[in-house]
Amino acid sequence: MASLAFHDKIVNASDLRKNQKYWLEKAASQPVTVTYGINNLAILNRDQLRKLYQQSYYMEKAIQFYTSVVRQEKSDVFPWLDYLDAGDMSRFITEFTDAVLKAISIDDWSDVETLLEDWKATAETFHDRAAMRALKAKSRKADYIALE
Amino acid sequence: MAKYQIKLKNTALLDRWRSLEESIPSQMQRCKIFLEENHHNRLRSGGKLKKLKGRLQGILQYDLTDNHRVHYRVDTVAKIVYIEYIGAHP
Repeated sequence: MASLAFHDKIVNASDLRKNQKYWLEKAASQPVTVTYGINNLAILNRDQLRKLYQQSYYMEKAIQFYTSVVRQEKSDVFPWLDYLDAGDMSRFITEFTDAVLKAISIDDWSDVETLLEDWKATAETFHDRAAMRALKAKSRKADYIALE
Repeated sequence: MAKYQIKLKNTALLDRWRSLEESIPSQMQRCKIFLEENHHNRLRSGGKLKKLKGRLQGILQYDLTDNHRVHYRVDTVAKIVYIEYIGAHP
């Protein structure tokens, strides 16, 4: 399956030197493999490579996280989840799953990154007693002091 | 766009704000401008804005430094940013 998804063009080093412009333009949209001795070297678009790295990074995190959920163990990959109660943990799982599925379909992981940052900040706030005391303390809007 | 007014929960918080203005003036100035003009804009925050989730939905966090953060709510009708907490970053 994976080999079907990876369509590259193959060129040897001599042909690459002769038709550099053609092959570099080709590599902008499709990986070009350069055969060089016993090695196969690839030239590919940096954005595509970044996306592949991101996908690999977050998919690994997601699988590790779901494994901990199935085993009912603490998450090593997102240790801050320990600070969430059952209701927020359930909300996190729903939002994280939706974000991962969307990222796979549109090939953009930036929303997953943002979601994790927001939930991490949320969990750390829950864990911070002084912050929670301040956030829970009721105050009338009229009592707030304007910053001059 | 009209600037939002910044209000702090109590005098202790105002004192904390003033103290940080002396110790980290440039970060506090950036924070003030951000809260007045772009309090919901992630891009403008340069990664410093977090939108809290779950039971803390509606509270926003701005990271002043690696060690300090501000928690606030926004009233978009009255155009006021209410600062609820300024404290150490865990």
